[in-house]
Amino acid sequence: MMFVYLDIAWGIFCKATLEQAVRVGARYGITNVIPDPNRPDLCASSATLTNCITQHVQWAAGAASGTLLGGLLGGTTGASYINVAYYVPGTTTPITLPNTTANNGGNVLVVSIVNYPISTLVGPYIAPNSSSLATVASADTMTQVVSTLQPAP
Amino acid sequence: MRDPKRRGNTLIEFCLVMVFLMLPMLLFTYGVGFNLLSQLEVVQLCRDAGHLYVTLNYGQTVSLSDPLFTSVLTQIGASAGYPANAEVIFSKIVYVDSATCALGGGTGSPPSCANSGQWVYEQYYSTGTKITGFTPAPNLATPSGGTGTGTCGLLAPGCGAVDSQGTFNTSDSVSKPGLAVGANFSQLGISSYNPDTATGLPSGQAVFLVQVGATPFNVTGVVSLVALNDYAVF
Amino acid sequence: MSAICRSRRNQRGAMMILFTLMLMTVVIPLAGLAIDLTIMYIVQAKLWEAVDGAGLEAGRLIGTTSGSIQSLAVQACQANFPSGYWASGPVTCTAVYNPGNVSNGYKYTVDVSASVTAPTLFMKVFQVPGVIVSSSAEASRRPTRVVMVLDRSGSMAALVSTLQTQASAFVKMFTPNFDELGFVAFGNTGIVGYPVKNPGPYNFNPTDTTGGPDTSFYSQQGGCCDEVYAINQMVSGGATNMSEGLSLAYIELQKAHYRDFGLTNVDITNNVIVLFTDGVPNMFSAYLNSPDQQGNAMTVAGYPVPNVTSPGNSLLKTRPMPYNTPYPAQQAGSSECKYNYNYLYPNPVSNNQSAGNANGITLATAQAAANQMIGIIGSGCAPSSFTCNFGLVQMASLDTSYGGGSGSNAWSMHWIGNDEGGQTLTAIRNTNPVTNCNNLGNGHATNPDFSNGGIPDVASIPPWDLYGNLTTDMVDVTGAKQGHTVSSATSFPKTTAYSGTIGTNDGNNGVQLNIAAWNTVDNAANRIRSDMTTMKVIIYTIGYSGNGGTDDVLLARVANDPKQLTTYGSKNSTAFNSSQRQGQYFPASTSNAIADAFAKIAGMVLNLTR
Repeated sequence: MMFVYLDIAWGIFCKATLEQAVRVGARYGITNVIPDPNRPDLCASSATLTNCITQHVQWAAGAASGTLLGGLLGGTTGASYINVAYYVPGTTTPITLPNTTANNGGNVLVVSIVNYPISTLVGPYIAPNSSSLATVASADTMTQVVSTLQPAP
Repeated sequence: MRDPKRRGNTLIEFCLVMVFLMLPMLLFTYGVGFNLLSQLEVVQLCRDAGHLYVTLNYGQTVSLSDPLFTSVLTQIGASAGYPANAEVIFSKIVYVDSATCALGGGTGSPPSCANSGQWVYEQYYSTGTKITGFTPAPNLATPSGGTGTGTCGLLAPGCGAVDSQGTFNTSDSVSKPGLAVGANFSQLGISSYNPDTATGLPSGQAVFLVQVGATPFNVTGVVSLVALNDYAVF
Repeated sequence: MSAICRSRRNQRGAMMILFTLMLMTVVIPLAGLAIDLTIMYIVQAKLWEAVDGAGLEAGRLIGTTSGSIQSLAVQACQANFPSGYWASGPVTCTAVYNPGNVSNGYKYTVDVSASVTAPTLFMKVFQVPGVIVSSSAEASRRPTRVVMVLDRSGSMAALVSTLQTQASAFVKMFTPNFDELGFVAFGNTGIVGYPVKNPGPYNFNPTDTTGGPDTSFYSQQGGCCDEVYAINQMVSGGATNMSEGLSLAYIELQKAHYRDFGLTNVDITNNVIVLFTDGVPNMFSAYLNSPDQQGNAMTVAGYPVPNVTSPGNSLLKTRPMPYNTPYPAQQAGSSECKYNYNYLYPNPVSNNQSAGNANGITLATAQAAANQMIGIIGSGCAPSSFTCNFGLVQMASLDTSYGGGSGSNAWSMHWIGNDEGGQTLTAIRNTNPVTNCNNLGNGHATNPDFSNGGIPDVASIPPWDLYGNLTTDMVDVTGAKQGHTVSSATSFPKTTAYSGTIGTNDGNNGVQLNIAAWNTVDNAANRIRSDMTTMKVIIYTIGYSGNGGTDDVLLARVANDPKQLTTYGSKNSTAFNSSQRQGQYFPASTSNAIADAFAKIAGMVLNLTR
C-alpha cells in the first residue's frame, strides 16, 4: 500500500511538473529573444531559440541551470522528450528547420513533451485513463521582434 | 514470560492500523490529486486556447474551423480530455453603448436598443463535447432563446441567425434579450467599462471570454464532482 | 523474569512510534508533493491567465485612451483571478504603460504583474502555511504602416463609390496619432492620393522626410484633407497601371521609414501594402532612353544617394539599359526622334538636345530632363481586345500641378485626366518644339500597326519599367520560368511567348504590352517582398471579379499566398516564397465580400503588431 501511495503521489507530481514545464518553455519561447532576460544563465548567446526553449523546459522540470542535469528532464535523454515546433497560420505542417522565418512574429509555437515515461508501478491498473507515458503540450503566438534581435529558430 | 502465541503481534497491529489510516490517505491523494491535476490541465487549456483565439483572431477574421487551430487545440487539450471529455467555448462580448446600438440599427437620439447598457454576445462558439453539469463560472448566461430559457441554435427565435463561427448579427445582438450575457458578467468586474461615460473600453472594443469544462475524475465514495471548469477574460 | 520477557516489555508501543515517524517523513511529504504542489501550480497557471488576459486586453487599447489603460489592465487581471481562488489570498495586480519612442523602436508596452499567496494543506505541518506565487506579462503593440493601393480604372465606374465607403471604413479601423496610413490610386498612372505634397511634381526620393504615410490620416471631423477625404475624391477612368501603384506604395513606405528611423536604423513597424483591383494590368510606366547604369529604382536594403545632378539616375533608377546602344531602335525610314518632354524632374534643366543619327538615338551619359522619354505605355484595352494601344504619355506624378490641395482644380484625384498630367501631348510638344519626332508618344492609337499614331519609333519594349521592374517573365523559386504563363485571367495570352517586340514587327502589339504589364506587377511585388532586412513588407490583395474577371493567380502571387499552389487558376504557379513574408489574397465576387476582405485584413494587420 505504501508503494501504491508513493506511486500515485509521484505520478501526480510528475505530470503536474511536466505541465508546468511546457508552459514555462512556451511563455519564454514567444518572447523571441536570447538570452532570456529573466534567466540569463540558461542559454548561451549562440544557442538557437529551440535549444533555449528546451533548456527552459528542462530547468522548469528540475534540472540544474548550469549543467541541465537532474530533475525529470535532465541531460540529453530528458531533452529528447521535448519537442518544439513552429507553424505558419493557415498551415498544419510544422516548419522544417533550419528556416530563419520559423519564429517570425505571428507564427504559432507549440512546445510539447512527448511520451515521457512516468515510472509508476500501479498507475495504469488503478486509473483507467492514465498511462505510464505522459504527453503534454502548450501553444502560443510568437512575438514580432526587431529583426536584428530575432534569434535563429 | 510472555505467551509465545503472542509473538508477532506488533506486526499484525501495525498492518491493521495502516489499513485504517493509510487507506483513507491513499484514496484522498488518489481522488483529490488526480482532480487537482485535471484542474491544472483545464486552467492551462483555457489560457492557451484563449490566447490563441485572440492573438490569431480566430473567429474574427480566421475560421475557428481552421485546420491549424483545430490541430493545436487538440494537442494542448489532450491532457484535459479534449475533445472527447472536455468542452471549450469561445465568446466575443461587447457593451451596447450608443454607437454599438446605432450600428445595430437602433434609432433615436441617443439611439436606444432593447439591450442598451448591457453586455451582449456577438459570438458564441462551442467545440468539443458538451459536459453534463458544466456551468461556466461565475454562472454566466449562455445565449438563450425567448425570455431566457433554452439554447441558441441556428435561427433560434431568441437569438436570431448565427453562422458557422457562432457569430450573431449585430442587429440581433443589440435587440434580442437572449443574447444578453446577464447581470452576472458584472461580477467579473467589467461593469466599470462604459464607453458612453468615456471610462473603460473605447466604444466598439470587445471582451473575449473563453470557458472550459471537463469531465472530472470521480472516485466512488471519495470524490464526486459534477464538472471541472475554468474561464478567462482577454 | 527472563531477558526475553524484559525485551518484549520494552517493545510495547513501538508500532505507533514507527507509524508517526513514517507519517512525518514519508506520507505527509509525499502528500505535499502531490497535493500542495499541484495546488500551487494551479494558482500559478491561473495567475498567468490573469496577467496574460489583462495584457492582451490592455494591449488592444494602446494608442487610444492611454489614461485608462493601466486601470483597465488591473481590472481585467482581477477579473481573471476571483477572490479566494483555491483559498488563496487576495491577488495584487499592477500595470504600467510604457509609451514607445525612437530609442526602443516605437514599441508601446503594457506590463502587468500579479502576486498571490497560494495555500498549503499538508505542508502546514512543517510550518509552511502558504507559498507566494507571482507572474508577469507584457503586451506590446507596434504602430502599423499601411499603404492602400486602389484601382480606379474605367471599369470601376459603377463600383468606385462602394470602394470609397469600404476603403474609408478600413482607414477608420486604425488609430490616428499612432498608426501611419497612406494611399495610392492607379488608373493610367499611379498617383499618391495621401499624403499629398504640394506643389508637385511628386518627389520619388525615398529619403524625402516630408512624405510617406503619416499618423494624421483621419481627423474624425470630415472635410479636407485627410486620407478619407482624399479617397472620396477619386474619379474612375483610364487603364490599369498596377505596377506603378505598387511601386509608388513602396516608395511611400520607404519615405516613412526614413522619416521615422533614418536611413539605417531598424524598423519594427508593421509595413503593409493592401492592393485592390477589379481587373488585369495593361499599362506600365517606362523611361525609354534612360542611360542609367547604376541599378534598381527600388532598393532592397539601404537607399541610393540621390544624384540630383544627374536627373536620369537619382531615384527612378531603372535597371541598366545598354549604354550607347541605340535604344529604342528607330524604325527604318521614319523620322528620327531626339527628345520629347520638358519635365521638371526634380530640377529643371534647359533643353539639351543630344545628337542623333539616322539609325537611332545615341544615348548621352546623362539625359537632361528635356530628353527624358518617361511616360506610360500599354495596351489600354481588355485582354480580349488587343487592338488598342497607347503611346508614350506623360505621367501625373511628373505634372507640375500634381498634388493640388483644397479648392485646387488640379486636385489629382478629381481629374482622371491628371493621369496624363492634365495636359495633352500636343500641348506639351507645342511648348517644347521637337523636331523630327512626329510619332513618338502620339497619344492613343487605334491601329495595331501604329501607322496612325502609337509608338513606331520604339522597336521593342524596355526590359524593365520606370522603377526597374522586369517586363520579362520571372523565374519561380525553382528557377523555372513562369511569369505570365500562369495567369488565370480569361483570354489573357498566357500561351503567347513574350518577345518584347512592338511596332509593325509584331502584329499583336497589344498582346506584348499586356504581357509586359503583367510581368512588371509580378516582379514589383517580388522585389517589394524581398525587403526582408529593412522593412519586411507584407502584401494583401483583394480582387473583385464582378467587372469582367480578375487574375487570381497574379494576385495570389503578389500577396505570396501559398494557396496559389493549390487553389487558383491551373494551380501551377510555384512562386510562393517561404523566405518572404506571407500575405493573403481575398477574391471578392460581391461588394459585401470586398467589405469583408477589408475587415479581415485590418484584423490580421492589427494582430500582427502584438
